[in-house]
Amino acid sequence: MDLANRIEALLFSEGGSLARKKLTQLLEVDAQALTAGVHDLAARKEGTGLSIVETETEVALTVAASVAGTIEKAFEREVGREIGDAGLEVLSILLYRGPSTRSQIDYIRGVNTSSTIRTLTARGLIERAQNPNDQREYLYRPTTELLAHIGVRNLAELPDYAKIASELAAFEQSSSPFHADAGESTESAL
Amino acid sequence: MSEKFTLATEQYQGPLEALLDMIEARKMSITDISLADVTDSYLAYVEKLPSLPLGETAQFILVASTLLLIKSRTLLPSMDLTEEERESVDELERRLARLRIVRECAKMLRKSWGLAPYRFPVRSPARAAFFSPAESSVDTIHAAALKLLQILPKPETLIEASVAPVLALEDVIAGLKKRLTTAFKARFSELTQTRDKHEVIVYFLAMLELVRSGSASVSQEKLFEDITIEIEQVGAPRYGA
Repeated sequence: MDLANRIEALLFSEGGSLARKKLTQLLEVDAQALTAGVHDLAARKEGTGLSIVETETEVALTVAASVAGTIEKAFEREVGREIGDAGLEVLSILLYRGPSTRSQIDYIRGVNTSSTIRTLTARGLIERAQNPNDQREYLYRPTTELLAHIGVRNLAELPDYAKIASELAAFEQSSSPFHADAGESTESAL
Repeated sequence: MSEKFTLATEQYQGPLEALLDMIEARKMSITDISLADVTDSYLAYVEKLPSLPLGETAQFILVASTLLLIKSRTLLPSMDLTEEERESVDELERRLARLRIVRECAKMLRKSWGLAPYRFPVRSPARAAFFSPAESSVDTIHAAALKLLQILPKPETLIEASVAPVLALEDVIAGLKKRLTTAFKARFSELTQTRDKHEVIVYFLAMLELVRSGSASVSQEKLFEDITIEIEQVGAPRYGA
């Protein structure tokens, strides 16, 4: 059986996001093969009523943006459009910079962000994950629900993604070790 | 998602946000000059702050001290900064520049917020008492259904036979009378020799009718032996054999 079909079947029966890790286990393939399969499936969904939305860690089968209106009418589901600037800034950091710890987000914004992160997590827009580099601190990262909500299927579809992501990355590199460490000291100060 | 994410704890602006707003209000880029220019405004802002947690206050003061450093140097060009001081000035500028990018991203994000969302399927809720016995299959259900059919009482099937008109009894009576008038005596087997079972019955009935009306008499020697039928004198019924 074709890998893309099997991925599609698993996503359909899940009815939500599935972690890439879980998919590789269920399908008994490696991460690279899975990525190729997801890519293949996403291409096949072009021009249909369904779309594949993916983050670095998750994959989801969703209704295509082109038919969002139909679904909204059928289920009368209101789309929440209210979000504060603080929330949008945190989401921007996680989308364009990548998975970040709370202290990194705090340092970038220059302000304590814990309550905003809590709210965004509770809304399912971001998720908390173990930080492979530091067990003491969690990493936060965007969910497929967030990508679906802003109408992009993957990070590359974000406006100006390549340009902004590389600009933000440049800041990390130009920071001296002394200041790269500043995030930690900010964290402990708070 | 109807309530705003902005919460009471973030009603004040953080040090970087406040500083960036001041620079942007003056339509300046992030340089030593612009930072020196906004130092007084920033210090005024810090003075008006409500009492904040120590950590937050420390952040404001850290930024304020860097600003004062920048301002001092613009006032005293001969002043030399140590490596560490230079670094903290650079880092402040970098943080501001980065925050500016993030804020621009946030603005872009607001434009696309919920505009063309990809919808997740409505998860169909699992039935609470759904039970799936391991051995159930179409075959076992089919077998059970067949068994059930056998237990059910069967309706009595009414045998419908289309009754073909055989012979009219009256005709046979008349025929018999006529024949016996000429032959006077006949054996039942002879009369029905060429007749089928149904017709034999009609002949038998006709014979009984003739006997009843006294037109004929019958005799049978033994059980299941042939029957002999004799005509009686017309109009003179005779009783007894």
